[in-house]
Amino acid sequence: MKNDSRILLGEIIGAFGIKGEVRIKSYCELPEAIANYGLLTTCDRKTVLLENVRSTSKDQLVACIEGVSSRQQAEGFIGAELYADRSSFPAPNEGEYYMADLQGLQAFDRKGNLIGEIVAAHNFGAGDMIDIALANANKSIFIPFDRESVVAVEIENGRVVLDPPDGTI
Amino acid sequence: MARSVWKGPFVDASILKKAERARLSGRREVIKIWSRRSTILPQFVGLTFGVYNGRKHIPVLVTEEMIGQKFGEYSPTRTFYGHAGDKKARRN
Repeated sequence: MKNDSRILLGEIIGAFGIKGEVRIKSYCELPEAIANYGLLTTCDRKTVLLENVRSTSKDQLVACIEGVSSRQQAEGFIGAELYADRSSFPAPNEGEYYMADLQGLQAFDRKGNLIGEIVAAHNFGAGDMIDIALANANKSIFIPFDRESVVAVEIENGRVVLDPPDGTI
Repeated sequence: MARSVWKGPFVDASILKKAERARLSGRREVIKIWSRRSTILPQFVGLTFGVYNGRKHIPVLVTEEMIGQKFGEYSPTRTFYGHAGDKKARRN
């Protein structure tokens, strides 16, 4: 597991009001969950603790930053990306995987031949799927993320074993 | 404007043919289709269609809740990759 890495959870996109609040674009599954990860860090390793987080629109939040009490101070954070340590993420349920963990895994077929690398995971409403950049062609393909197509997920070894349905590769 | 009920749902004939062939063969395959405008019918449940989005085929496993929708609704033509954040994928 990539416990040593930092995962981008959101970005401060603006100041809000005159009391030092900021607007945040959250990349979390539940936008407000960004506050559950405690101390967040920015690109330049400054720590940020979010308080009084509330939702304003679909994926935008308004929050206070501990120690920031004026709009001028809040404006200094505009553009800051907010990261959390991967180790602070709760363990996923059985059969669930963080998309951040799946990205970058090598995909092999049952015979051990390299197929490609996972570049993203998506859900367009018809189930989860993984996007694989093929090793021997300059294109990517989608494979359904189910037990039949993805036989094994070995995050520790940095690989997945695929048995893609006919007609996908 | 809604489609008249007396006409029934629209489905391209090629999809009906391909789905029937896949069902009879029993093979695990992705049925490649280009017809995004076709309606999902009850006989498609359980089959996986690769719905073309102009660039590649997006796998769509048809479930009961999808009946009556169009295939194109599950195959976006503009993909925003975004950031993974703490989103999870479930392997069913």
